[in-house]
Amino acid sequence: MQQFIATRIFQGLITLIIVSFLAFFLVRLKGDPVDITAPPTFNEDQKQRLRELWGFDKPLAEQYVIFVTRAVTGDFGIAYLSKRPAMELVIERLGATWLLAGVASLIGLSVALPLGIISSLNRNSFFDLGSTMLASIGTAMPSFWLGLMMIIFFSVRLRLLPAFGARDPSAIIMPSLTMGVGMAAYLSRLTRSAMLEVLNEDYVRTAYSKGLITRTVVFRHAMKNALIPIMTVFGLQLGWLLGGSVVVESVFSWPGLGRLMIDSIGVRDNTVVQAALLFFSLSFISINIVIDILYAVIDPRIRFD
Amino acid sequence: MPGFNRKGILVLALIAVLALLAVPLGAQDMEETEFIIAHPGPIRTLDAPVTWFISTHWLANLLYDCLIWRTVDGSGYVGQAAESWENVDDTTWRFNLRPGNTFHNGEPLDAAAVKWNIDRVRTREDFMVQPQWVDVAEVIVVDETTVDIKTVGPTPYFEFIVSFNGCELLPPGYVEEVGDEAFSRAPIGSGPYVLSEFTESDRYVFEAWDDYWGGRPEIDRVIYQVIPEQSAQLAALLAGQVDMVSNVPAVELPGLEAAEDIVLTKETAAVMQHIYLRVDTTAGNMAETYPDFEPATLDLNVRQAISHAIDRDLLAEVHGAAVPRLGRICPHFPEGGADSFNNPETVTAHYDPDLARSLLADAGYADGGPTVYFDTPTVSRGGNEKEVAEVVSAMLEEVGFDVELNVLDPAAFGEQINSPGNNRDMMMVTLGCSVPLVPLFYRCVWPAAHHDVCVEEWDEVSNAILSEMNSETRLELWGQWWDYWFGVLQNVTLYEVQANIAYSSDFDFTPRKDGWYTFRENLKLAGDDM
Amino acid sequence: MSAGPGQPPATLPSEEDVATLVTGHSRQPSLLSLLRRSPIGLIGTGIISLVIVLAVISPLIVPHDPIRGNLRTRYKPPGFTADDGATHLLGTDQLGRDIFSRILVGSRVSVLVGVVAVMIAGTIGVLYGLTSGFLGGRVDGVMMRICDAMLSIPFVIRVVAISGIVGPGLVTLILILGLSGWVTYARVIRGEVLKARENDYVMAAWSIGQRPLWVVLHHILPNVIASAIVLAALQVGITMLAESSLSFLGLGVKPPTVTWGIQLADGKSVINSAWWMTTYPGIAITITVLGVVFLGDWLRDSLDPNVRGRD
Repeated sequence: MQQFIATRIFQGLITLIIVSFLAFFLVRLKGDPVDITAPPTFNEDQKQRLRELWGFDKPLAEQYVIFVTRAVTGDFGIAYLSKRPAMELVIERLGATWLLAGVASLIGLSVALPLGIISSLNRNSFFDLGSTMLASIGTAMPSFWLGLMMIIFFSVRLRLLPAFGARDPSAIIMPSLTMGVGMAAYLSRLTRSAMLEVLNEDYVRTAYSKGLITRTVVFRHAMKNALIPIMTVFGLQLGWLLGGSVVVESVFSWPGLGRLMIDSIGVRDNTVVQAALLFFSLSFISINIVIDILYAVIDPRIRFD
Repeated sequence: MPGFNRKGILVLALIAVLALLAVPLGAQDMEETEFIIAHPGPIRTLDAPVTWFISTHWLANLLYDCLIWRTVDGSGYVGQAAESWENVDDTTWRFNLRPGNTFHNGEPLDAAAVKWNIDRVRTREDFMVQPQWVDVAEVIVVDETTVDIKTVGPTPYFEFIVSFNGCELLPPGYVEEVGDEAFSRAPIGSGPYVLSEFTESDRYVFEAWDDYWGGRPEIDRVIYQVIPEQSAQLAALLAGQVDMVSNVPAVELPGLEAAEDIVLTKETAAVMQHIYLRVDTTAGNMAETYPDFEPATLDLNVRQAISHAIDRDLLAEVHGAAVPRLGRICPHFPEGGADSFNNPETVTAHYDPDLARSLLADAGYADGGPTVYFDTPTVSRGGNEKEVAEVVSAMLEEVGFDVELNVLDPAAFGEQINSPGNNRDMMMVTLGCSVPLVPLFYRCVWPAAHHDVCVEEWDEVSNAILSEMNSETRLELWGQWWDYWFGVLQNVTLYEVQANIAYSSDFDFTPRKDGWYTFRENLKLAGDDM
Repeated sequence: MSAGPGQPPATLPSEEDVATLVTGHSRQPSLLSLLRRSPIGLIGTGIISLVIVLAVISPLIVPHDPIRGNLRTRYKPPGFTADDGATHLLGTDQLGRDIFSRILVGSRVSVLVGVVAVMIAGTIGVLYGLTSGFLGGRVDGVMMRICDAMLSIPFVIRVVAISGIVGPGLVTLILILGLSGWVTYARVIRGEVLKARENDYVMAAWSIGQRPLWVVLHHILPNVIASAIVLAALQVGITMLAESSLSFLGLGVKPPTVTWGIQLADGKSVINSAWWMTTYPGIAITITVLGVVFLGDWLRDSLDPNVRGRD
């Protein structure tokens, strides 16, 4: 087990290096930051000087080496426009992003699991039908639409909740609900399906025949086995949420990573994009490591090789 | 397993609760007057000279004084750090500073500080605003409160330059002590407000400064709140959580008119929407990159056909807040052709689809065509670019053009327009309409890759305008300048963009003619007769 | 015959049983009769057929020109009747175009994009997950790390990068959406395969020496496909919404092509007053998703060896 975890972490580091490589070249695929950020009054000479200042004149390979050697010490360079360390900009947003992701996925899970389990236990009932419809609406509803409708209702009509920002503790309610709805919809469907699958497997029915009561059957046997796909998708979604959601952050003016990333791409501020990307991939890779370990914890038959 | 789940959830919940408690409550003192404007963000730095982004300069203007500053109505200039100023001779401008004036940190704002600042922006090549200051030859400290600025040649629009981007005065001692990077995090100026809090992703808070030479401002606190979505900005205004939204879509106006505590006003945004037409294939590296591409717009007849095929009145209606125009200077300036080309009747009469068709026939396209490639950003400074471009395409197709419309996100569009020589005939561009900058753009020495027009005689007129100190002679030169403008027809002007501004009736507000949302003497509490 | 396809054996199956499992397809009820017995499948099929039929015949039945609008009647609310007597059932948009007509015509590209992109993503993802989970060991490790790397680059960055290589357009759009969605399936399927391959009947198939490909396709795939179908059904809606954000970034299809996503993007900034511009395309997407989800439920049930035939 320990060896497995160590191997996984080692693999994670290698993935991180690959990602840093991909990230570095992907952000450079499109466009010269100088072309976008320089004012129209700059001529080629001045642009060239700016390129030299920002280090774009060097060969890509050399730029990459410089980037990596600095990155391992936590130095991602100074953001071209903010003139602040790129890492600082990212860290400034981490708290808000993670808080929102945490609350949203809590909402998602706590709605999805009961909904999915009850649906699977009462297949084709009205409850099942209703939750299917809710889930469809949940995934098909654009989050900017839901978000703005909530703002119009709770902030404009009722004057209850702040329409923007993350200053007031109550400010998290609407963005986390908006994010949680989509997640709940998605996960509840998956829970239902996974539960149905295991509920019909032999050992579950054997447990039934032994006269064990339903709830115990559900939790002890079925739930445990249904968890694998649920966990996988939950992990992926949590990973995405940790990277920030551009739409929700924009609608609620939530100071998160998603907006920082899109704003920085807009001006091709590679230093910030790279720093944000690193956190994004770090969270993904660690979540996937945890999930892989959980696979084995849940179902010891899954080997560690 | 259930045990694990419950524990996990408990831990997460605990973390969430703790994090919630850690978020500071917005302390609000009801005694103080607070004004919150919704800003689309992001605002990246307040070290003003660094950036070219106009909206940063809005905020910077609260924090910093310049030597002089444009008046609210755009007709002239008013002294800030300088009490008075004069044009001593053709190349010397003398500024008399306010005696005893200081920066927020107590550093004296004297002639030496002014010299330090202007020398800084004109020599730092990594500053975006540096090229604007190349006309300054020397800054001379005459005495503690007198400073002379020498220009390279006669510079009639010097007042504009000295009050434009990069004019903000920084405390030299403090900047040198802490360095540029630390300064941009804790900037200090000499303006009516001090920066008390800034979070790039969230908001910028300015507090009134007691010791401002013009007296403490009436509004105690001005906050720029970042709200990226236009719909969310409006909702926040309707919810009473912000006091001003600066760019309301026309379709939202009826809903706002119904709201009792909201005032609506409209003012020029000081920019004009144009369609840039390609008139030359030799610019940049286009000849090598697209050897076979021959823009249809190389033919003047085609360019004129485009201009006459566009119903600008209808476009202005589609845009929602625009006034149809033909020439690129705003008519509130004497040079802006208020009685001639930018007169509403003239603009309406310019729309002539039959003329456009016959021009196309003259150009050899009697049976339809040509195909033109047209790029537009989804949305940019002008607002509604995509919708307008769609309507323009329809109008052009009406007279026989075949339009290939290409909608790009603003960043990709920015690259497209700045990359040397792309294979496009037409591009939507938004340009400022202030007088002194305009002739600059049409000189042969102008650097931009796509500004590929160079007409020697026009160049001479532009240069003459930029060095003619006599305002009457200059106006005559402008007359010639416009002949070239319409003769070459590199830009087809569509309309002057206006901004619909909605604000809380608690305040009394006069919008600026330069499209800047900065608040000094133009913002007061309502019902106040100061 | 103790073990029919619907009933996995309680003990290790005999060689005979496995053979029955494998060849038992002929005794399954036909899809059609299954459909008849499943109201959900019927509703799903009904909705999807309706959407497809409407998409196909939409150019013939639109009440107004979906491309050219009347600029004098912009942002009109649902039920608005113009001076010339033309009624706009669902209102008009920012260029005075009829929303109802645009929804009808928009269904063509939207449904195409939604379905094709999901199919591409699903196929790649399922095959990838099967291979990775089944082969296990080092291959699994490498394949999953590739997944991690894919996931670690956010959608926006991938989109910007891809669009830098190929220009925008319908094919690009489908490719972007299809090629970025597969990892979810791959990870889910791989997790399920890890679980399934330890199952008794798979062990049994192994033990009697069946070829690996056969085992994968006939014993593992049917046991893991359910999750993929559920994911795919939901993904159709998510893909349609993603298309909306892409067209907002200028990376979607070009005008005058209409999609529901473009309609959503167009109405985004005027939700406060012109709510109909986003609401109705949103409802169109929801109904389609509902149809696909119902259809997916039914398909999932009819393919799941454990559930099939027990209703």
